[in-house]
Amino acid sequence: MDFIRNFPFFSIIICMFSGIITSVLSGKKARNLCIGAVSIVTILSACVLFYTMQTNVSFIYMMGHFPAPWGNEIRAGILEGVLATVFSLILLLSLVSAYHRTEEDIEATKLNLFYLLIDLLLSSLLAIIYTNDLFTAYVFVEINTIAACGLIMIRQKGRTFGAALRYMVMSLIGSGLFLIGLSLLYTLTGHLLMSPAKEAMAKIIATDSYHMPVLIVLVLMSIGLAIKSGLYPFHSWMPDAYSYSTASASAVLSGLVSKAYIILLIKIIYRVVGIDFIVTSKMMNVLFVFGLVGMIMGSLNAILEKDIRRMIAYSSVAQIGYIYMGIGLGVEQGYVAAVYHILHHAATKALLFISVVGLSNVSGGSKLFPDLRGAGYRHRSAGVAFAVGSFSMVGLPTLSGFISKYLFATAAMSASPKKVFLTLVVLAVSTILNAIYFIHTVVTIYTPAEEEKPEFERHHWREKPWVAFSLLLFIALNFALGVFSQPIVDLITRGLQMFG
Amino acid sequence: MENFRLILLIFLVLCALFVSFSKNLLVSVVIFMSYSLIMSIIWVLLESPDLAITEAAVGAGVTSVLFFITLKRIGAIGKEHPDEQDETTKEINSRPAVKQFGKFYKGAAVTLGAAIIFALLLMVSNLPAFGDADNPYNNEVSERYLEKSIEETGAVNAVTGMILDYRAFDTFGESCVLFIAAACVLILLRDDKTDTTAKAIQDEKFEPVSDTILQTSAKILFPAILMFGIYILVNGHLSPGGGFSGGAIMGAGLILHVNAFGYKKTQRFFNEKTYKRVTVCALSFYCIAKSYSFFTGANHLESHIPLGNAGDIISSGLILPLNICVGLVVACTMYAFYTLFKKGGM
Amino acid sequence: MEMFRFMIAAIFMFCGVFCMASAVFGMFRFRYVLNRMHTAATADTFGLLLTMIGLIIWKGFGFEALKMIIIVGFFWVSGPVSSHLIARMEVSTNKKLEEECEVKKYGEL
Repeated sequence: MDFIRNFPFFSIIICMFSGIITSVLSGKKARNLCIGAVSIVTILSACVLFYTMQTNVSFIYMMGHFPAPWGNEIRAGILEGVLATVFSLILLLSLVSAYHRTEEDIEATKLNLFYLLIDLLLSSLLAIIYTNDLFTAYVFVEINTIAACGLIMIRQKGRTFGAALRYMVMSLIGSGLFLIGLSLLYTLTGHLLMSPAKEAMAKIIATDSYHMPVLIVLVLMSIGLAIKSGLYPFHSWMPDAYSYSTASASAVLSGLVSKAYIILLIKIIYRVVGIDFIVTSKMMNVLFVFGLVGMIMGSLNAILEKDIRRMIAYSSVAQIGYIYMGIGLGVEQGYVAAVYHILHHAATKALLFISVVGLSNVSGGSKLFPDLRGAGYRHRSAGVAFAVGSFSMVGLPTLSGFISKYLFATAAMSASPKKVFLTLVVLAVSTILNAIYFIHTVVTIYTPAEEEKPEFERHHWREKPWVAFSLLLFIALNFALGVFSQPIVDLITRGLQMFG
Repeated sequence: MENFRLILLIFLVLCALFVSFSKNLLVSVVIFMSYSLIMSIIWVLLESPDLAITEAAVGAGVTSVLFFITLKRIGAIGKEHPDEQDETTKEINSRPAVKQFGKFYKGAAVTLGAAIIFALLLMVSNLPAFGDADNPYNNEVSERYLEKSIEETGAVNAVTGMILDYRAFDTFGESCVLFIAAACVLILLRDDKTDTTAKAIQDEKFEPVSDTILQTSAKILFPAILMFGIYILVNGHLSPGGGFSGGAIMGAGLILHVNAFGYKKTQRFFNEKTYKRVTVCALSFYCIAKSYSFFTGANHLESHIPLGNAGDIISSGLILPLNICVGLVVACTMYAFYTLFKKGGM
Repeated sequence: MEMFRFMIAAIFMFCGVFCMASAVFGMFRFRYVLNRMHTAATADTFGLLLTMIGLIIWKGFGFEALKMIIIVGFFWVSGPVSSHLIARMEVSTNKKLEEECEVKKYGEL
């Protein structure tokens, strides 16, 4: 066995171990350890990606001395490699680019706990991405939920407590539904690992013996995960949670945490139930409709919002709607588009949240539009970053947003005729709505302020070169996703084929 | 036996209904406690004593204590009219739109709940019959767990062999859940700005700190409870129990000690530093030991850890030390939860 | 002989159950905290003891009997103490104690 096959396991365990150690360190040391661990994980994930790309096989890693139906397993293929690399890279960038805000927002004695949460959060993200076992997935979903709650409330200011409580209640309902679905699935199949469960499931579907229970299991699992990822009618926790937590936390929460659940859903669809049953059972139409409604309603709410961070949070609601629409299309290309959109949204939303904090910093800490006028001149790097992120969201060519919208449109073409029409209309409308609020915001921050207020200050990138550098990397990531879209889409397609 | 189980299940449903409809939070907590106790009896009837011990210690014991402290801290105990609302809430609640929404909300919630209950019941009637030998989950997986666990893991208690050897990665995740939950409670409740000792003294005014009767009985009970916890902990691979249940019992013993003798006496042997050291060492050991066994297992190397003679106290390889680690983490976390809820510090 | 043993065990257990039943009745019958506590404590100590003696006689003096004796011991230490704590709490927090019952100062005893 190649040594490189150990890397997925190493990356999970490094995160957990550094999280455990972090609890006794001081804030500064905790930060350095955390950033070091995340960088190592990024490199390891990139190695896994290149290895799977070159050998073109997925491999299974046994966690312990016992093989498949008895012991735990993790599995790595191209898609897992891509997701792990991009996720850990984005986490690293959002940590570095807002570390000064983190230190301002959080009490010095609790700073190490913040990095502890980040470490365990990354380990849970990686475990959800790599796992080949349903119950492991559930355990790490729990860790993910608790860590996210902690990240929301660690900035003890504004409405964070209420937001964390709301998030927790919604999230626990989601976990509960998922757990019920999981235990029922075990009753039906007798397996918790994905590969044997799929064989048992195929038998059940072929004989059609438990049609109703299987359907309800699917509904419970997908609704549970949809609640956790904040699909439209369950999004009420999102605006408060994203707009009052500290900058890195909201970038991580909106970019990565809600996406992990969607990845788990795709995993269950592909690796447990089998995509054919999903298409014939038509249950994904529910997710499709909710996704469409979310795309419109999220954007409308964002237009009405006067607070820039809440506006971006509502835009997240719309983007989650896009992803679920892609899943609900029920065709292979739809899933490819959904995964691409996950990557695009993770990169762009994190960039937006980080740059907005820079902009509001130079406007006396205000997040309202009238105060933000001319902020793009006062903090040039954040202004440019925000503009790039906005254009990417709207879907300007050469940026990642354009490609994802294009992929959704082409995927819709191969779906059923009713869905084609609906998808294209809603896609067009939501693009226009996106354009309205994002272009308006960009214009606002580049309109010179009428009067110089005393609390306005200028920020030069040389003051904090690290921040500017990581913003630059964020922008580069966005362009890379857009320009090299063809190889990335190829990778995702190959990865999803390996999944099956 | 079937009737007895039926009675218990009906009781369970009734308890759940009472918990949600009771107007008084204190009553809710007490009924919730009895809910947990009934649940643990049901676990015994279903022949899973491991779960029963944990449920009784955590569900009925420690959780209720935490609920009580929370109620006390938010001032919900001893209020004359707990439902009294202040002026603004009253004003908002009397608006017609809010009233209408309240009605709609109640109606929608009841409909949704009824629909979910109906769907789940319908599905349960379609599931494989309970306790049937031909059920899908009576397959090669459980067969090997039951028949080969002594030979392969060295644990007489198959449940422990399963959670600490066959599926050890999940259990490591679970102990990290506990760890991260403790970290979140620290974030939420640790008060670094004010002096917590003064607050604790103020808080203990009505409490029986220096009650001779309590202290004498605690002197007898504290070692007994601790011994019982340790017994369950180190016999985890031989008899029902193990890290989680034994740790919870030890944590309950520590809580009794602090209640009887006060923080000062307890802090002599258990303070925040001890807590941190013990948790970090236990979890690090767990992490390293399990990494070693995962690594050797995946690379098909010999693990060189002797399984020993099945049935002895020191046997079954890594299971005993791992159980002790889990138990220490659980005990410390339970105690830490208690003190953090109580006074915002350790 | 077997029959005789069973009879004695049944008598003990019946007494124990009667004790507990009357305690439950008293819990609902009485209105004042200290009275209710008094009845509950009887069930905890005497009722439990009688039931356990019945069980021990019925099942024989084995390892199980030892466990039951330990359970009784545990309850005899913890039950009265908890009752005592409740009583102490009531006495130290209730401002209208004189209206409910006769209170004697230490010196009068």
